[in-house]
Amino acid sequence: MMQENLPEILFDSSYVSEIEERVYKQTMEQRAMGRKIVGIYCAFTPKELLAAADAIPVSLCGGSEKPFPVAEQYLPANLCPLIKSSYGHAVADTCPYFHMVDFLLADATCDGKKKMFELLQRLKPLHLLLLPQSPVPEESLDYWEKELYKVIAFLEKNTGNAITQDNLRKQIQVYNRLRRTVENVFQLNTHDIPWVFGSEIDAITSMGGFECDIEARIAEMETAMEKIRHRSLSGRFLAQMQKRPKLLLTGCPNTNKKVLHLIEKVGGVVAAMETCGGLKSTGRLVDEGDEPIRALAEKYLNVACSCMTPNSQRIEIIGELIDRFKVHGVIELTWTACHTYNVEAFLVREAVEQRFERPYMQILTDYSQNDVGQLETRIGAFLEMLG
Amino acid sequence: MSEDYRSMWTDLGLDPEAHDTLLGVLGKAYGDIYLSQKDRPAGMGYFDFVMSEVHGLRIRELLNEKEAGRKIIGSYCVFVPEEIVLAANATLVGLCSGADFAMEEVEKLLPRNTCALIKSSFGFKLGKVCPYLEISDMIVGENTCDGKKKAYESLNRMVKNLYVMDLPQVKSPQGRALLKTEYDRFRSAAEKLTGFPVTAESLKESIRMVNAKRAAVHRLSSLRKADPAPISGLDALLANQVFFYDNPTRFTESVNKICDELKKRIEEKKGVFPEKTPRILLSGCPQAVPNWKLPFIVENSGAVIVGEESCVGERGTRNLTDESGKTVEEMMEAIVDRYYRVDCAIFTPNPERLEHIQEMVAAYKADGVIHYGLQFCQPYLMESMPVEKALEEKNIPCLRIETDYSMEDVGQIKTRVEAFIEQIRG
Ligand code: SF4
Ligand code: SF4
Repeated sequence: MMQENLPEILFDSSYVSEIEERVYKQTMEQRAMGRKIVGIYCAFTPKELLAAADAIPVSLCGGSEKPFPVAEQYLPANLCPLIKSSYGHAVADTCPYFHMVDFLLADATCDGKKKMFELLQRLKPLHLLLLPQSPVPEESLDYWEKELYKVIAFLEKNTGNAITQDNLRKQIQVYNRLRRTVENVFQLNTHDIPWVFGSEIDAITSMGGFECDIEARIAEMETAMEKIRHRSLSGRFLAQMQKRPKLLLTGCPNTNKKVLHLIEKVGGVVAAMETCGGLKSTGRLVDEGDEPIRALAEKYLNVACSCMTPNSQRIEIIGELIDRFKVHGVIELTWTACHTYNVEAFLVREAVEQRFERPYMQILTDYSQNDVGQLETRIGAFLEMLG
Repeated sequence: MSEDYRSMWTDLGLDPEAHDTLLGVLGKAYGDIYLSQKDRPAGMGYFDFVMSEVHGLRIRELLNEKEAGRKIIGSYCVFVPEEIVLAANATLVGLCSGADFAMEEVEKLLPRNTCALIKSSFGFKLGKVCPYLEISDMIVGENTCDGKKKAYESLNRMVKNLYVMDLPQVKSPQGRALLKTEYDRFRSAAEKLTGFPVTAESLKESIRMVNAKRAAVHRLSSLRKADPAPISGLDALLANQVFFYDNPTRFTESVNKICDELKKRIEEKKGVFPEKTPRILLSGCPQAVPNWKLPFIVENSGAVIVGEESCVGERGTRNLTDESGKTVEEMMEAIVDRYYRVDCAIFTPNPERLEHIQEMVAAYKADGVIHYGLQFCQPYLMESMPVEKALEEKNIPCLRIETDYSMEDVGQIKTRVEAFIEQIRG
């Protein structure tokens, strides 16, 4: 879906396609020279380790409904669309990224994914990271740290490169800088009047597929921010933005953009996103002063994902974002059959409405376009209520 | 039912009207499904009695235990070790619920797309109809599937005494170590609750007692290998269900008594169904009381169920705990070893389960497997397709049923089951 009705929009899907094309070309050249490509599925995978082994990470979460029919030959139909899409693409070999991947790093997060990986490992070499189910007990961190050592061994073996402390420290700095930059992009929306559409942020902060030259992406994000700042000097633009209620979008990953785009089409601005690609994982940096592997373990154990129990961190993050971005309301996106986010939605609603005193709406949907009309009406009514 | 129980239920905080409704439904279902069966072993009279008193006499007994200073621990899962509970001077009761109740209230707290078992456990709490839940001094939730582990976060608001046990997802040395840590932590929690330390003597005795209960069930299972089948799958399932509620020693005796009777039946070539009746193995999600829908359909469509590869069945009971340990530590290790082998679909990968299904098919001479999946249960539904494929490659017919607790699909399931049985008859 295209971004419709957005005034003076600067960054859209064509902006992303250009990046994708460039990154793809670059990666193919580097691959020809022997760099390995590693597919990942989740915000829990420490990309710093991959980069330190000179491998190129690529996120493989599917966002399209096209591969459902083939996926459903192997998986129950009643499954989260993200899982079905990812698996369908893989098994039908219709995803150029999956095709290029040398091996996979997968995290045992939700039931659906972890059982899907059992099938996926028939297609490509796969290393499973065993996440603890709870970030709270002290043992979880030790356990997770040990898992990271296994990842290191796996990566060193499969790339032929040693992961040195120096390399790792360097990559930690690079990824921290990336996190800070993404934070800065969002930061533009902390003014009373938002400066940038959520769908633009999505385009600006997109990695464009393979993460082979992060420095270049950071530089591009800086340039994009300059343009946004420049646009915000226009009184006319700000007047239009002022009319739009500011929203926090939370919940399942925005792998399919339909809800994000609908909210803005109907007249809102997604000022902040508490999602895997968004502010969920950027707020906390990897401690550069600590022993690097321990520091990574700490950072990545604390991704506030609903697959963790308890996941009270997420409620706290949502509260902070509501304040910092001065949002008028919260919309939670949950994909059908995603049990963890759907069950947790009860606690999120309770906290948003009672503790943070903001209107809340949950959207339960999948990747199909069938309910777009209905969603538009519901979102419209919600925005109207925000005044 | 006597007035005496009525005040007991009110004292426990149950909603008298809602509870009457539940008992009414339960009693009717039991009559229609169980008492209507032909040629039941006389020993099943005991289980009929247990079921008729499941909210009455048994609750009275538990209250008496409490008065005498014992504690009651409620559990939703076979990973909660009964050995530890008993050794700490507490009694374990199963809380798994098998019927829809107070659904409107439940769906305010849980997504509609949640498995019926989880919704039911909330419904029994919200509807105030489960005396076991109300009587429990501690309720143990476990991080098994996503649905359950997240639901406990909400349940925590509704009950004061929830204890959450973490579980590994993978069978690795680290996974085993995690289970050990959690069982040690649980032991301390149980000790703290009861004020009784787990000693080598008490643990040894409880291991023996729980093993005896399992051994009785094993004996029952092995008698089901006979053709004609000496007992219906429904009745055997009931024994497996009562396993979770009853006094362990009395349960063991009663099952053994039935086994003596079945042995005679087999010698006399007497069965509940004629010889050569198609034999079905049920495999998949647990069936908690009073979820008897699928076995009822199967056994009224011309087949007999000869085994349950399920938590309420052989997956839950098949392994014994090693009894040779001398110290508490040694016995704790043995308990961890025992539970670590449970081949639940929450583990990834879980190849032992497929092996076990095949072993059971051979041991009970099953002609086909019906895979029972609760709607929205990702772990078992995800496994069901690979299981079906693997079985079919070995020429074992397999039918995948996906359902919930409602009765709307009974006709449709019956049609599919009948066709499957026809196919088996060949
Ligand atoms: S959206 Fe939910 S079900 Fe889907 S992959 Fe993520 S956690 Fe799993
Ligand atoms: S039946 Fe499946 S979804 Fe339901 S509680 Fe059990 S494992 Fe979880």
